[in-house]
Amino acid sequence: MSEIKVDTLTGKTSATTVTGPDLFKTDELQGKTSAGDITVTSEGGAATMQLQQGLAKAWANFHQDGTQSIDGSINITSITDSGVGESSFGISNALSNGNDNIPTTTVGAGLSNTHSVFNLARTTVVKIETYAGSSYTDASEINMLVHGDLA
Amino acid sequence: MSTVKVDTLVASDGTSPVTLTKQHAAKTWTNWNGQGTAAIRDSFNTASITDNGTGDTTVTVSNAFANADFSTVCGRDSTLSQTRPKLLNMSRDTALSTTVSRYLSVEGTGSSTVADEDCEFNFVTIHGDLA
Repeated sequence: MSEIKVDTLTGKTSATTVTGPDLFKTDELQGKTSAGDITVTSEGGAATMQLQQGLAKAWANFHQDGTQSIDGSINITSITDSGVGESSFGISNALSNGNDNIPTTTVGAGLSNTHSVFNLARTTVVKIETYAGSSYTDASEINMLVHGDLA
Repeated sequence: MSTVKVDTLVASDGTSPVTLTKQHAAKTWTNWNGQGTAAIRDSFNTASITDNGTGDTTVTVSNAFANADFSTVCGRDSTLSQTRPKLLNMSRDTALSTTVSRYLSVEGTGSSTVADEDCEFNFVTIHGDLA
């Protein structure tokens, strides 16, 4: 195996463009000009957009029935049972403000008109409520997705 | 840990989109306040929203999708100022084009009593291919 050790790469034809292999392995990507800003090309090639803004900053698959717990997640540190149908989540890496996009979906087998809604967002806490019709209920599976800016 | 610092990622042909192995980024998301004059609170790839009436909002994205077969997830708040709990929902009504979709928010006190509602927090996230 050949190995090149270098601190900075500069394009030969264009100083800002370096063409690499089809597969490039690294453990971390950062924007060069701004660490949190990497531009990617759209599938059709007609547009470019920021990569980081499209990445989910947190998600959770959790249940409220029985002892509330998280079944799968990213960037979620804890779940707290705040009452029937109410769950509060701690966020590991804080969000930068309370203006985040937080849709939820409820998988409520056997429950009528089961739906979950956002109740509260802070930089490190998100609260979700679940109803069956017009009453609070504990659902067997809820999915939550968070997009926004990390601090 | 090794770190690569770069401003733009493209495929090695210089123009095609780069593959993020087993990862797919959302192409747009919008958080808006539907009460009073509807206004975007924060967003990504969203050009504008239009208030079509109570609980009825049109969202226009900046960069168009390749087709209208994108996947949309929606959400809303529990309207803190009102008596809870109640029946609440927010959903996509229709994709009017590759850039414009219409969303409806409703509330009710039971499954048979539902009305359109301007709610404070509305959420839309879309995954799919951009043009």
